[in-house]
Amino acid sequence: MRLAFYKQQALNYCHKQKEQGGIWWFWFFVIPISSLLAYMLLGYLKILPEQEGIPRHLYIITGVTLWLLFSDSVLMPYKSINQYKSYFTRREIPLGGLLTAWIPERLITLGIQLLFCLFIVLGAWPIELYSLLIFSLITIAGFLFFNAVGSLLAVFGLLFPSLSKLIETLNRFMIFMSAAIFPLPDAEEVELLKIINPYYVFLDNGRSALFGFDVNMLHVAAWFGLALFFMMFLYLRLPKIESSVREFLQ
Amino acid sequence: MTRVALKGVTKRYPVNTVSKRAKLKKAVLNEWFGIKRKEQNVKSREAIAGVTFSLSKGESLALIGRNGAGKSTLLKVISGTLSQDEGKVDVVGRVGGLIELGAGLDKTKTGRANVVERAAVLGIPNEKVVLFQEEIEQFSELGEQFDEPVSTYSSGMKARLGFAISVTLPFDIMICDEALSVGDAKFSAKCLAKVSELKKERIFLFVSHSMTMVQRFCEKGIVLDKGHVAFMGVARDAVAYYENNILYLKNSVHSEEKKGSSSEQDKEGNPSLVRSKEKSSSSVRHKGDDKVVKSFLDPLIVNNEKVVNWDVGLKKSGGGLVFDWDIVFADAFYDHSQLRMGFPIFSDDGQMMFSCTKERFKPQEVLGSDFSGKLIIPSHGLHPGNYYCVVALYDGIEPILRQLICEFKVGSDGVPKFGLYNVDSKWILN
Repeated sequence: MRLAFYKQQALNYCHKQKEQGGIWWFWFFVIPISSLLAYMLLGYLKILPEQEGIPRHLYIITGVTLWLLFSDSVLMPYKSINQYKSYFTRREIPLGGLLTAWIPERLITLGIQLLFCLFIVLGAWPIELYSLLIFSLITIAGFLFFNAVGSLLAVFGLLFPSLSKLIETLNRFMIFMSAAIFPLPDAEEVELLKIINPYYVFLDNGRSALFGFDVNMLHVAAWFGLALFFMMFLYLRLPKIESSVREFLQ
Repeated sequence: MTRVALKGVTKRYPVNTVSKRAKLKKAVLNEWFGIKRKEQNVKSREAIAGVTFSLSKGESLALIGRNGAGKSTLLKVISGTLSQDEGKVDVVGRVGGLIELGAGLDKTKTGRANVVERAAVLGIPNEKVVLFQEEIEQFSELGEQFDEPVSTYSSGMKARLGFAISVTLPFDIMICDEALSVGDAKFSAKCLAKVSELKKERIFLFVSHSMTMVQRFCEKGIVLDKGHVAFMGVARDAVAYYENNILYLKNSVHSEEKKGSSSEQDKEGNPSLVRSKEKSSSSVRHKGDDKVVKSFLDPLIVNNEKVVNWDVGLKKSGGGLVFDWDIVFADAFYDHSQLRMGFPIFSDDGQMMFSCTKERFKPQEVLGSDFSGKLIIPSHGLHPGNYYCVVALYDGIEPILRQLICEFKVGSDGVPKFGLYNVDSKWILN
């Protein structure tokens, strides 16, 4: 039932794009890619030092692609509540479906970005199939983790409106503390940040996996374990407050 | 097995956003973390209290009550868009229907896309969705506009689409909140026929102020009064109970409440308002004629700057009606050149049967501040049923008095009647 709903959301998005005009397919691909190209430019300008032997533009494009995927997963569930408010009177769509109604639309955009990123990286770096598999697993784990966190924050955001604003504000700064554009220094002061910042854990390890470097699987597994816990919690507890949330949003 | 079972259901509405948030917080703390807190900062109003009933497949239930009695709230609790504060709600089956016309439709999508989406979410296979689309397209009679965005639809068209979706898609429990009066007369008749056909296969919950419809479509009836179940039983008996114990009785209770509240306002204020309100609560005459049934005292519109007192009565005279009125204007030199007066008659389901209107009054007909007169309708031609009449007084286009006068009943003479009302006619046979 939920898959059918997601499919409809994806089709709606494509339909809306088609309404944009004759060359909709051009913008359909160019707009998602353009934000990555802007960051790639930073790499070509050689403003930042080369790290871990990875060319700067490849380092940035992988980091920013993952960053966009993860940060959207955190922020979009709360936005989804307002965007799809009209669906809250429809009992056949579960609350979980409403909180994740954004995924089909954004996943198309993020999917294009991810494919573009892989296309660029594969063209410039010899990547083994095994590395690609580990990268995919870490990316999916990160996506699930941030999505679960985002869904929880969406519910708490209804209770404390300032919370969602705070998360949105903090999120803007996190890009610079998550090795998306440039690596974090090896100083002792930031070692803790590398462990407690899930953005860094999934992003840096994902990129390391893709380029064939060592991956700290312990950190990834710990955060993924937390993701599983959150998902289980949501699966069991979300239906219990479903009517209350619907009532609140009416 | 499809069923709807409610046990001791109570619902309280938070009165503002702070209270709504406090209530959600309580639900989250309780359901997620097992922390039970006393309700704090939750200012709430009880909408329904201790409602208990159960229904199974093929049964139909009418919810009857005045505005604010809790009918729609009860439907929302059953449909799951509201949570109960106390009691147990056991609903097994897919709930569909119309609580608010057009609710759940995505305005940016076409009618067809809305149908596809709703069918897909219900898990209906694609090949069946095509059939449903055709059926809904035909039923809603939207024509080419079925393929246009819902945002371009009129409210009637949205209602038709919403209704067509709810009767065509395979819902087990169908909810209708005043939804059977959608569209024009032809479409309404079609809706009624469809509901008659469907109610054997579904659980049917129906809210209407039309007692004729209630008796026509439902076997059971619940009368709600300020959120409490005042009566539960056969629909016919529920209607009788409502008419005899709630509808008319509450009007007078209401007017007393209004009188109380108006006197509070009086302390603060306007002397002309005091006079009119005091007068108004006692001014509606109960005629000596026992054919006059009950009086509605609630004024709908009264412009106290222009009208300070009114006194309008109706009596039935043979097959006709006689209205007489005595209205006092605030200003003795009031310009009456734009005055318009009308007495519309409505059936109990809100349809205007006819209206007697006078567009212009001659200066000598309206002299000074006192305006009185009589309207005689020799033969009203109305069919058996309940009707109510309203007095409407306009100054140009501005309404200055619009008030329910009374409800009256036309009895049956045993001769079958068709259409809305009789007209005087004469048969000449060759």
